[in-house]
Amino acid sequence: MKDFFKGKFTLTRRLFQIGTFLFFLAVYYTSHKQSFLLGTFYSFKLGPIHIVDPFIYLTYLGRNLLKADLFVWTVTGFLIPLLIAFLFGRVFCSWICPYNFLYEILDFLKTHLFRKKPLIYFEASPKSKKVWLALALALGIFIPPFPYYILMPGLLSVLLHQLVLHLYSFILFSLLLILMVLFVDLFFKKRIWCKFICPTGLILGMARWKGGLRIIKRKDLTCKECALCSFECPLGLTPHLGNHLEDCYNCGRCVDICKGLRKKENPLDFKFL
Amino acid sequence: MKCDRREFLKWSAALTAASVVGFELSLPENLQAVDVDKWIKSVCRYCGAGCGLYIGVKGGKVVAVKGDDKNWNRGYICVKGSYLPKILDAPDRLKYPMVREGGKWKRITWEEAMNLMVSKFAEAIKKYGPHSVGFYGSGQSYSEESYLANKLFKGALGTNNIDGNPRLCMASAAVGYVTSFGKDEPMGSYDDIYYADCFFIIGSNMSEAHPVIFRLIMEQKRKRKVKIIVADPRKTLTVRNADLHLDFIPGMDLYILNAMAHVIVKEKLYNKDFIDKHVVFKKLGPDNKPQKVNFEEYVKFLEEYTPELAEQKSGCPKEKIIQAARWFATSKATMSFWCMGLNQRTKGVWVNNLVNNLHLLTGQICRPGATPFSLTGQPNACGGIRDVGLLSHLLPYGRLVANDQHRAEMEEFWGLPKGRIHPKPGLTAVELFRKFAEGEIKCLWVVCTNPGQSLPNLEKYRKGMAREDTFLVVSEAYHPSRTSELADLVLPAALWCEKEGTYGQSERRYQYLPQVIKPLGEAKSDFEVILTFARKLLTALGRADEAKRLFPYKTTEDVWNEMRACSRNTVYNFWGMTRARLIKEHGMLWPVPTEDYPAPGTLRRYTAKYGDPLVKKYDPKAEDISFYGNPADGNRAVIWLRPAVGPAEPADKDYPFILTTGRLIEHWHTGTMTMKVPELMRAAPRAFVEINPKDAQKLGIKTGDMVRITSRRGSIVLPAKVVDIPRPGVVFVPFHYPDKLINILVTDAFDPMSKQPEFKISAVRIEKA
Amino acid sequence: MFKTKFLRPPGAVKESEFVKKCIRCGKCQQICPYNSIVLTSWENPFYFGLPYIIARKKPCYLCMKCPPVCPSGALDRTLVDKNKVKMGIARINRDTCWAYQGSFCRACFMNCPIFDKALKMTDELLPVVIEKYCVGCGICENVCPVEPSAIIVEPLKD
Ligand code: SF4
Ligand code: SF4
Ligand code: SF4
Ligand code: SF4
Ligand code: SF4
Repeated sequence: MKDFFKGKFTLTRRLFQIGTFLFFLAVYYTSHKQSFLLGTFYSFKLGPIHIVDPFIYLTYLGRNLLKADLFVWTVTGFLIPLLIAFLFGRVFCSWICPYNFLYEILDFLKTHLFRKKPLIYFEASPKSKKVWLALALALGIFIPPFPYYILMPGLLSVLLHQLVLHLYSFILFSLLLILMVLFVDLFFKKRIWCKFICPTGLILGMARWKGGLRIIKRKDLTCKECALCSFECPLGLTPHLGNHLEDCYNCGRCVDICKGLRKKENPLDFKFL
Repeated sequence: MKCDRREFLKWSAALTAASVVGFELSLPENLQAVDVDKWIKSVCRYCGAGCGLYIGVKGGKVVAVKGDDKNWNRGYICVKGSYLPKILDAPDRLKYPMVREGGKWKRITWEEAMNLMVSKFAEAIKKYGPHSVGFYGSGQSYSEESYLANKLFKGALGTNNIDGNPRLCMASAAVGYVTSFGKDEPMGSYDDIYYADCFFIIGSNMSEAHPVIFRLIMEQKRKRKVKIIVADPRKTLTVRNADLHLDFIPGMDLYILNAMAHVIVKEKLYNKDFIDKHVVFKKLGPDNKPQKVNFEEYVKFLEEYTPELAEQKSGCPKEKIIQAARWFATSKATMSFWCMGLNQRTKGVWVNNLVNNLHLLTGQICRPGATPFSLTGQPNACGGIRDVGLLSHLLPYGRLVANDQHRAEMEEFWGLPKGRIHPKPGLTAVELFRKFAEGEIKCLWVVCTNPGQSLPNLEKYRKGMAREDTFLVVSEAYHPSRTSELADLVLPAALWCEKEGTYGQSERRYQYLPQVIKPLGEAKSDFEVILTFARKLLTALGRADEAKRLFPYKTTEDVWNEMRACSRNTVYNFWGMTRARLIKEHGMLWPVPTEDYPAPGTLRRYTAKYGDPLVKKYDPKAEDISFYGNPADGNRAVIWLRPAVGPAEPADKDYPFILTTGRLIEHWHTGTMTMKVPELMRAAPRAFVEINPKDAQKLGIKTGDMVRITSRRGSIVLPAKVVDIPRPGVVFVPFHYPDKLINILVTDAFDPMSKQPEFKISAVRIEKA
Repeated sequence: MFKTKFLRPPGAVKESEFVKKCIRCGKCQQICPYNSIVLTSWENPFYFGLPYIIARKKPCYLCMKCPPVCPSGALDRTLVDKNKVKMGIARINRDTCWAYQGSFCRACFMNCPIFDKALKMTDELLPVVIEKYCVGCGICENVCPVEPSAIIVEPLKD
């Protein structure tokens, strides 16, 4: 169990993930009485600003074209996640997203308790991701419910609210959906969902700026090639080879592992600018 | 989308209100095409309207009811009546006697229960005398049951501490009738609705409380364009369908009624001829004794009650008062209805007199369509309590406890030793419970009613009922109720069609209710229980001979026959209503002096021309009209000079709102029955407080907000319903809900004449909770 | 097989547009103090996550808290007057309504929030719906003692 929290970044990140869960729970238990904080991962109301999931908003714009309601606070809210991604990469996915948290828990249980090997690793080329995203946008525009079947964070947050309300028919429906996805993700091809399918993740990944927050492997310090970082990477990337930048979501697990092992002069670290 | 005509009619929404006028209501013959073994004629269990209905039985279970189209209600019933079958097997029906032991309820046998009860009562009587026990009856018990209880307590035991819940509901109307006409009970009947041209409804929300009667009135409105005047501080549905609404500050209606008389006199709209022949005038002298006066003095008395004064006092525009007076006096026939709005008042008798006055003044009486008509709340308050005399000051059929001759008559009739009936009227409802709380009454038996919820200023009396050193027996069909939870012993009662007996509703109509199914569990009819108790108690008191002689009955019919005989030499004479006839007929109205007297009996009293058989007997000289109930004044009725007085507790600076309580159509009284019906609970699930939008705005209250209502006696929190029904300054709360005892807030000030408490007017304060 | 008529929250744009506009964020459901709003799932997977009201279970009490929190224009944010709401129109089934059957009932009338306007009691004591004023909140459908309800709110068609 200790492993799950070990390391400076991991511990902070876990606190963020648990905090997110508690935060939403608090929102749902108070939502009848306040309208300052409301919503789900599809769209969250923070005071006047309606932060929205970029994929949801893009399909919304595409569906409604000229009829779209360009509410200034919603448009503002659309830009916020993109700006964060631009500066800090996909930190949403690693530090906030409940699906990722759920996955990490299950993955941890699977590997550490049951000692099951995963593992068909899967890599997709950047081009195929773009093609898929374009396709997903088109599907989202022409089939209105489509985004709601594939955006896991949104679905999980809605599910949490329905749990608070005891609306069981919805809970059953969405649970089935989520379990299906988890099954594919856990046993079939590791992290296929987050790395390749989740359109929001793809958009956030595309929005990142090269000079923004990222994890680098310094060439001036020697790597012992123990590959423990790669073994621990929740996305199944291989930072010891230095080829992780494309998909990395800045969770900092590899940095923690490397530090814990070498105490100092470890080659993996965060870098900004 | 295709939509055929039938479909369109069925799902009509597009129609405007106007286009639906003239929609002929088909008679509800095949209301439900239910499959039943047989339909049995009976009467609705709930309100004083007393709708006849048929009970559909299948395989020993009641499965449906439908309106009786040959009875006065012509097949109509209201929504709660329609769901009657569902009250019979509610899960909280009491199935066996239970005794409270150390705060826990323990099941016991009937034998044990009766023995316990008898020993407690006998002990109290032996130790403290007969006035240490009491009985609290109900306008829902069958007449035979009430008669038996009355005979036991007043006759056999010699205590008058026996009162009924009609004290909280009808007493003012009864005393009003007696003071105005000499004898109780209305002279008209529902039949007058078909002849009246003007309806004057005051202090009654008929659309909720007596819906079927209201439906008959509305039918006349459509067919004959009759005029409807409603005086009510709330804009109820009754008001919304009226032609004229007199809207006033609660408690100030005495001013309005006197002002109407003022207008009638001033505009010479009164009936001189009628007054000369049939009316005397009276006022209360300085020594509080009635004193005869003449017409001129009455006119002088009225002078001060101008419509202007009425407007100033009551807030009702004077034009409306004048209009109402003119319609009242000049219509071909005027019928007035009133109910708790007039009765539950500290000046209940007076205000009853004032309505009667208007009829006497204009001669709108004793003709088809012209009559003052008091509506009853309970199905048997008239037949079972007022007529049978189950009130602490009455003896059966119009006789009075305080009258030596009447006592002697009853002693002889019941075969009692001379002087057995105590000459002093006993404790009335509220006093009875006060003495019980003070410990002066040791044993009290409550049958078929729920004083733990229905008394005013409730907290005080509930504490008294919960006392450990007194003995409270409650006969109830449901347990726990707000009364039975305080009892020491609860007896399971058979309910409605599980027993047989007679009901007598508002219009003097007696109707027979057959037993249709077996009582649930070990439940027994109150008749059986009272009879057994009477015999056992008298035996325990060492008067076994009396037990045999006074209570020889085998069936309810035996008692019924004794009651018929008892009424024979009174103005109530229903000798002709044999059980067999009642079973056959759809209700009969007394007097029915002989067995061949045609059904349905006497629709109009005090008038020979329209069929009262007793006029000739009591006043042989009379040509047509004779108020023979009042021989002391030469068979004349009395117009009382009643000065206008406000309520006991008007709104003031600290308590600026007036709280008034009332009914909803879905529920009945304390809800022990109707709240077991899921359909009715869906329509009226919880208590609320109605607040006028203007008041609500001032207090910042919106519909759904929780509101605290506080009176001098207590406070309660209820959800608000902001709606333009009560007038500004008035709030309304239904009294049905056992979880929200609004009666805790209500004043227990009562009318000195009728002893009826002023449920309808209490000063309160409201604030957002 | 699937439910196709849904009673949308107050202020909803017309159905064909609503399906496109609503981003199914659930804020209207969260703010509703009466929990009147539920989200579609099995009833019709094509409408997955769209908010609607089952009046018989919980009608809309017209507190007007939901329209202002909608981020997408699916509900008219500017709507505050409950009288201007138009969710649907109530229809009375004359074959089952107690009032039309010769029994007397007025539960729908007494509970209608557009009191004595959207629902009227005629002189025959029959309830009639005045289409112009009925906002379609479903309170009448909720309280009707008949099972199934004798008065049902028909959601607006496009
Ligand atoms: S009006 Fe009264 S008597 Fe008639 S059905 Fe309704 S409750 Fe029963
Ligand atoms: S708030 Fe608006 S966008 Fe969000 S679920 Fe409700 S209707 Fe849809
Ligand atoms: S108006 Fe109020 S009650 Fe109606 S759906 Fe919206 S939040 Fe719920
Ligand atoms: S008629 Fe029914 S749906 Fe229409 S406003 Fe009234 S309660 Fe709401
Ligand atoms: S509530 Fe139902 S049964 Fe009652 S009047 Fe309205 S539609 Fe008819």
